[in-house]
Amino acid sequence: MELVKAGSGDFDTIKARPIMRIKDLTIGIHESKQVYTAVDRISMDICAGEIVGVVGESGCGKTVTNLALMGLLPKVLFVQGGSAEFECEDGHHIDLVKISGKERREINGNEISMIYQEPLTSLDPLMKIGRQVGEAVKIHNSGLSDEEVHDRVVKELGEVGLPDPHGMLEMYPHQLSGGMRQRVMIAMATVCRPRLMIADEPTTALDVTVQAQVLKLLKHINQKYGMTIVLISHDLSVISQICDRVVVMYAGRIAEAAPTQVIMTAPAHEYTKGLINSLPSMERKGSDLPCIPGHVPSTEEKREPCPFAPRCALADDICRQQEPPRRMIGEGHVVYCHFVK
Amino acid sequence: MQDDILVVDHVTNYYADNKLGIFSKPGRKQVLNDVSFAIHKDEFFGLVGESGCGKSTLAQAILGLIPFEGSIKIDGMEYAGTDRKMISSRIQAVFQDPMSSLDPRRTIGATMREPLIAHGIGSKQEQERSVREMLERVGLDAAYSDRYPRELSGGQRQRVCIGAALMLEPKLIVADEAVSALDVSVAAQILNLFRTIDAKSEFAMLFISHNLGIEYYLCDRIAVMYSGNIVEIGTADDIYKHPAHPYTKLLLSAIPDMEKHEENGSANEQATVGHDAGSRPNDVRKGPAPAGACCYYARCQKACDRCLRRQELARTVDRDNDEHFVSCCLQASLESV
Repeated sequence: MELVKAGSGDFDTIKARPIMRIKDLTIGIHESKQVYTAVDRISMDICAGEIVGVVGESGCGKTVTNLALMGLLPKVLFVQGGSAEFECEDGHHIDLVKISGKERREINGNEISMIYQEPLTSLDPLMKIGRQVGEAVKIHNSGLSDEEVHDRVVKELGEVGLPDPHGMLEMYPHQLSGGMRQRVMIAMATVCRPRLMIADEPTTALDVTVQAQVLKLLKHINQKYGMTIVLISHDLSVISQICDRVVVMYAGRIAEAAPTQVIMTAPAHEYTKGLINSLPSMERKGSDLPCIPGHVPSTEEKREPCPFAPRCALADDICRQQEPPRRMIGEGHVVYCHFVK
Repeated sequence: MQDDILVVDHVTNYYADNKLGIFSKPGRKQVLNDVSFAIHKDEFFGLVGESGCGKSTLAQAILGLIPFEGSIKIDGMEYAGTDRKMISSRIQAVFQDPMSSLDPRRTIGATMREPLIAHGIGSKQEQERSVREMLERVGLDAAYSDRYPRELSGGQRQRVCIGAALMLEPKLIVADEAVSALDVSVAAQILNLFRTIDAKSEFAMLFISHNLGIEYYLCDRIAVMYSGNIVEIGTADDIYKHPAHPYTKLLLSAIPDMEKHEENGSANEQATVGHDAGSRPNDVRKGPAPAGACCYYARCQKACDRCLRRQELARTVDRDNDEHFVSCCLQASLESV
């Protein structure tokens, strides 16, 4: 097995400076008096100014990882080990999974922000849009006057493409359409100009036409402010639209990580190949879809050293005895598989 | 017509929409607006549209779960004046979330046997045998008959739902977002299952989805719905390769293209207007269309005075093609663009 260099993540050939280094992060889950592993020793670097896509099926640990980074893990989940080193704006480094509540309040919303799937459950139904968006500004900039806060909120609402930002301040979430609500969420997440934004399935609850607009807005924000975005989705076609690099996760582990172009044209891991092939496309009409047999293992099920082995066409005895080594097969292209040379 | 299994004829449906205030007049909101189409025998018919466009309401009307105006004929029978059992042996449904469709306290076998008991088909042994056969047909082990839904994975539960729907050998299956709640790799398995089962037994399917890619893959004909109206009907190739209605074109352009990586926001121009100040975000309706206008009037960028009249679903794009209908008066001029 190739030795992993100290401090190296999955993207260590990329020249850009990483603003976050996740190393051997392990997250456990308490379930009926037992402890299972939800996320198993994942490592990745996230570089300044890029959009990283995290793709995987339900239960692969993509959301849990990002909740851990935000310090929002529900009670049954806990960080077992590993670190997530984040570089703050003033240059000092902190470990996101170990910081205190006080430090957390400084970071969340100001340095790292998050967007969730369903905007209506994230917005307070009894609070006007203006106050909700302004809340983050007030908390992190106590010196600002009400007028300055107001101006910043109006500017931000216009920035995310909402019509009539002034009128919007006095609206309630239920008066907006799904796409407009998601834009409000994005305005809340960007109003303090955080360095990193985590978008967890931001378009899953939206219609396709609105989804395309929201994706374009995220790309626009990324380019205008150089904001780093982690985009989590189960939909590879959404990821491929705007991401620079993609991390494919399966059953709590990273299967493959590579630049988007490489993932889409030359995937190396059998799981990634299966995911891409199982999308219904124009050419496949009238023929069977090449699908991955079996199903995603639940956290309680016993997992093989290579979690994909039970569904993999190539799987051999070695997959059930040894963990797949981490192999670098190209520029920023990392695969965890015994059979990739 | 003789070989139509389902005929939906001028179906209209309203929801009560009471305004705030106890003295306000009870209002009503139109959900389905004069919907007409037919599904041929042994055909996969797709229905696509955004959330809130009335797809599921139409499915409920076809399944006889809600009242409606107009007429729906299943195999020549209407709900009014026919024994419910006669119709339910011909039409069955598969819904989005299999866990909420299955009774958590009943074994899979008991759930699948229920339609046979209700219709009094066969003895207990025969019923149990046909349950086991059906489980194998939908790709599960016959031993699953003694298990409970919680012991199965999402894809397996959806297989059980499909099996239960097929127990009475219906002529029409209504699948309402049947693969939307499943993981990508499992959804592909279920789509394959639909295809292989269809090859073995004869049934037509109304496949409702918001995903035009899946519809194209699975269906013979597709209807596009917008705001309670069917705006375009055609064969899958017609809709996908030669869309005529501006809304269909918008839907197609919004599908994320795997090959097209968005660089500097250049691709997908039509679908993605919206973040620049000044341009009109097209998820913002211009307010309700004037009464009697084309349903797409408020969102259509080419709308003109002629669109103030309601458009009939009549014009064919191609005069030689009698399968392709669109409800747009500008369609003739759009074609030349």
